[in-house]
Amino acid sequence: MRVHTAMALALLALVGCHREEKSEPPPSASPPVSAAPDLPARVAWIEIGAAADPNGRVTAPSSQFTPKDTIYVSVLTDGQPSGSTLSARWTFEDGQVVSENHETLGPDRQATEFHIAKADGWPTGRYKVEIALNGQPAGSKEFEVR
Amino acid sequence: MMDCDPGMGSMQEVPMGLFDELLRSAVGSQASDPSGQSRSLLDGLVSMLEEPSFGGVDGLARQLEQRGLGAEARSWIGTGSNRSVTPEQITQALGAQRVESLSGRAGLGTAAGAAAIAALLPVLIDKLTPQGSAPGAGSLGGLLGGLLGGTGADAAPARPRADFSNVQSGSSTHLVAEPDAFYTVASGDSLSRIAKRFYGDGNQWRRIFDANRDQIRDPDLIHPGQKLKIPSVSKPV
Repeated sequence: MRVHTAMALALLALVGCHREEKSEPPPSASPPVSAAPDLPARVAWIEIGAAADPNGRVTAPSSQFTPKDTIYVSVLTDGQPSGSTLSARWTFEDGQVVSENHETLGPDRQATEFHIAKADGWPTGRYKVEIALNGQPAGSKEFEVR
Repeated sequence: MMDCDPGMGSMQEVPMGLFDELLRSAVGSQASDPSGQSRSLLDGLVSMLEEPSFGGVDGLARQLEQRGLGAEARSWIGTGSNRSVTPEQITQALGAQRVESLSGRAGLGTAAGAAAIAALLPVLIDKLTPQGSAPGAGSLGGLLGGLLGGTGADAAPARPRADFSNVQSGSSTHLVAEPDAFYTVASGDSLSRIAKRFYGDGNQWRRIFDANRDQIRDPDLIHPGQKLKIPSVSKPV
């Protein structure tokens, strides 16, 4: 009887200290890994620039471009983005939609690059790129072509 | 309601300087380029009127009417004196997003842009309706060109609508694989405590757990001496 009581107390102690360091193997009643709550997908940061590396990161962030530049926006997402849709909507100062692109995200942290180019040169003026995650606004960047 | 007619109601052509002066008076020190800014605003306002969904001068009059500004709209279209509107009223009538967009293209803050639109719009509509009736939406651009044309060196040509039909675009997604830091678990640690230490928020423990699934099966069970990958602290958007 005394042995049973001690075992029960030991089990209670293990269950009661979530995510604390322990030196004993996990009890058989520990919750499955999948029971841990998923963090929602989120946009962590947005950068724009005239070049991006092979990993989808903008190499030199800038908000001013020349008419011949290819313009990149790099978006880092984390949380549990698998299956989420990330979109970039580029607009000119008069409200015209320049381009709109979508990407479906995989699991884990993702760097997504969207880019636009215009062979005959961008009209000078102010532009904006709006990022949305699953259709919800997640941030924007404004830039200028001079 | 005070009148804002500058006394030029019957003129077909308006010196661009009139709009420049109206803008300068409305926005003060934000008038860095009154001629260019007023021209940008006028182009934007005419583009707005030309939108099929907006409905031209008649559409504007309806929007103003719905905001209790019918008398003001009629005064602009009619041949009498123009009645003024406040920046707040014009923002309510056109919508904050529209005012922000128009202001931005003129290099003005939203509040200054609203003030400028409130100053320019009555005169613009007045000059676009010299006969006291609204012209068709499709003819407004030409009317604006005629309104401002031939008035001297400061009459800038209307900027053609930008063509984005040949824009090339693309996108790609990449897994961010690199761990940004390592941490060796000490006695008494938990994922929550480590998350608190690195992120300032114990609830972010899942980020560490996700980055170390190869060595952590149970987030409640970590061991002293384990070397954990700590994903980088993200910068805010």
